[in-house]
Amino acid sequence: MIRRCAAIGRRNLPPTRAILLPVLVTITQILGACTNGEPDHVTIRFGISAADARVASRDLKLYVHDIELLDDNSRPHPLMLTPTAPWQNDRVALIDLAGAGSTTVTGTVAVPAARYSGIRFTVGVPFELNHGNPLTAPAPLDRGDMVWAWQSGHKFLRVDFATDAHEWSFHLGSTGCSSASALRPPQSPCAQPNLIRVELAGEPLHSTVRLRIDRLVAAMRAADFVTCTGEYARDPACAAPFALTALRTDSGTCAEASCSEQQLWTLEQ
Amino acid sequence: MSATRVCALAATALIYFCGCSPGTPYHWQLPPDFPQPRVPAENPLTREKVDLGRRLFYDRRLSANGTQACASCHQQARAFSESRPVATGSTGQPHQRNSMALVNVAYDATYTWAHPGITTLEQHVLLPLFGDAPIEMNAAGHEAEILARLRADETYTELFGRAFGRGRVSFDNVAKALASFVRTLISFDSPFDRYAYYGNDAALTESELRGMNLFMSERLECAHCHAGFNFSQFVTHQNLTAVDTAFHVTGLYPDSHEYIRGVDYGLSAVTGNREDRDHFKAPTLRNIAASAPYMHDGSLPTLNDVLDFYAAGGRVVTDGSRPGDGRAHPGKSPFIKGFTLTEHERADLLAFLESLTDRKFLEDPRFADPFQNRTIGQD
Repeated sequence: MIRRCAAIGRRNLPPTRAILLPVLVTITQILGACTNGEPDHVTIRFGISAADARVASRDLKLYVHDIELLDDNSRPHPLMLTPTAPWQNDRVALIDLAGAGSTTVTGTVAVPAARYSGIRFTVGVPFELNHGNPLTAPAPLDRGDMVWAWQSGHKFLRVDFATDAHEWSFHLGSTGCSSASALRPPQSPCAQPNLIRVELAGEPLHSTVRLRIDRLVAAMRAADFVTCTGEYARDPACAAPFALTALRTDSGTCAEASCSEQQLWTLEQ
Repeated sequence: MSATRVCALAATALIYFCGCSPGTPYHWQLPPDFPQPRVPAENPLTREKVDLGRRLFYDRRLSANGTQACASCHQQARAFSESRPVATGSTGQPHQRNSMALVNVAYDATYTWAHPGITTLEQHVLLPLFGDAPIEMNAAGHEAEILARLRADETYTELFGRAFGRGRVSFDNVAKALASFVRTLISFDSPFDRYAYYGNDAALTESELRGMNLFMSERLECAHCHAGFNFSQFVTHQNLTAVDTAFHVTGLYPDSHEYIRGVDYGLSAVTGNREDRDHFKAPTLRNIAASAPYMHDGSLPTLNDVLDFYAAGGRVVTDGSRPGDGRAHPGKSPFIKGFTLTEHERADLLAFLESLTDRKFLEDPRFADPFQNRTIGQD
């Protein structure tokens, strides 16, 4: 980073004002990043609250991809994932909030900003990676416990809990996937992709992206601890927990590009 | 050249020429692109160990009183399980559990019905050999006697020599050879495999395909625990870098408020945790039609009974030491919530389960009894 800053400092600026201005802005940004000591290697932390950690979880995992840091002008700065097998490859990261796995995503930002005031990420696995043979898929897509079958792909979010003397599960993934059988992949995206594009305001690098187990437990309690693993539209009791995602049961997408109404994730200092 | 290096070279040459060579590497026959099972570094898989292990597996002299071999309870025609609900040891003690099928166990992440700590076959084979609760082969206290029998047999002198070097007849090597043989019991030639892993669309009938889709459906939830290529969550292989092992309560018995002596509580007997009571491993379903009866205590005689059991979300036990409603067990897996099946769907599901049978595996001469003139393991 320091070497890069020094190189930019030596560069001769073009004479034209039209070109000069954006260059100056960029340099200011980069120098700002340098003087702030902000590294371009960043770590995004995921977690649950201390109170939620006392809830007996059997399994609590999710896939995330397409992470972007947002600067003060809401411009996205994509995070290039650093492959750290078995927890993330260059496209997808697996977060494990109950087991012995990784609770962070690490990567690099090619053009860092001085400051970030938001984060965007997608919960799930991109369609083109979601329906491959899990035996030959690169980690972290090789986990049998996070796969349904070729046809339906991966579980994007797997929550298995024991609360109030009930064992219950909430598993989110694509539904309405058409192919010749459960063991043949679909050729076109599923009717309900159920990928959640989450956007959270706040400084993301010194915060924790918190999965709101408290809200999920409350929704599950209201639903009498029904287990929801795919019948989101058909089983009326799944409505309360599924509503936390802000996904529509018919289209499997949110009303807007970002699921701004989602309530499952918050950013906390 | 340094003195150390000369010594190292000399030692290597000595090992090479004195016949202590590691043997011929064994290669599995796996479907295309299939991951290799893991093998412990201290016991590389060789043809010589497999040959020795096969003979030991079928040899009754491995039990103290010479009445029982591994194959007595693990019979090839039954996918290396047996038809009794629970096993009986060589001295007549009844086991609490049904003999598990030995199918693709090279891929298992843990062994036995409910033990998170037994993670290699080398560890596992010591249980039937030396276990005393119940007594199985009864080798404990009879080690010298059993090894003397093996040393007196010229065939074993040769087989141990080839596998481990001359004079290396020991229980450590018995365990390594048995583990090596069992590691070769690989079954990937069922109609299901030809459909799933060889891409042959015609390998399954319409009924079997409907049954497979039902099996994989969220309505039935079978594939949640019987997951992946081995139909069990407890799988590891060389490409897999993380393994999750989850034991489950199926609702076979009610929760016990008080500890009942003699009851098999599964995982909690190992962990000591009350909440682990009645948790067991979801075993593979490969060759399941050949390995009746079912469940950890063999208490369900047929696959139809198993479907009834899961359709009801567990069962009500009316007799024995644990009467009560297993369906209401508080630790029961959330995936066992019950379902209804039409008669057609039931037939399809059974057809699918039958399509997991690999006939060649059940008759493969490489896995058969090498003692030509003795019948063993028939009941």
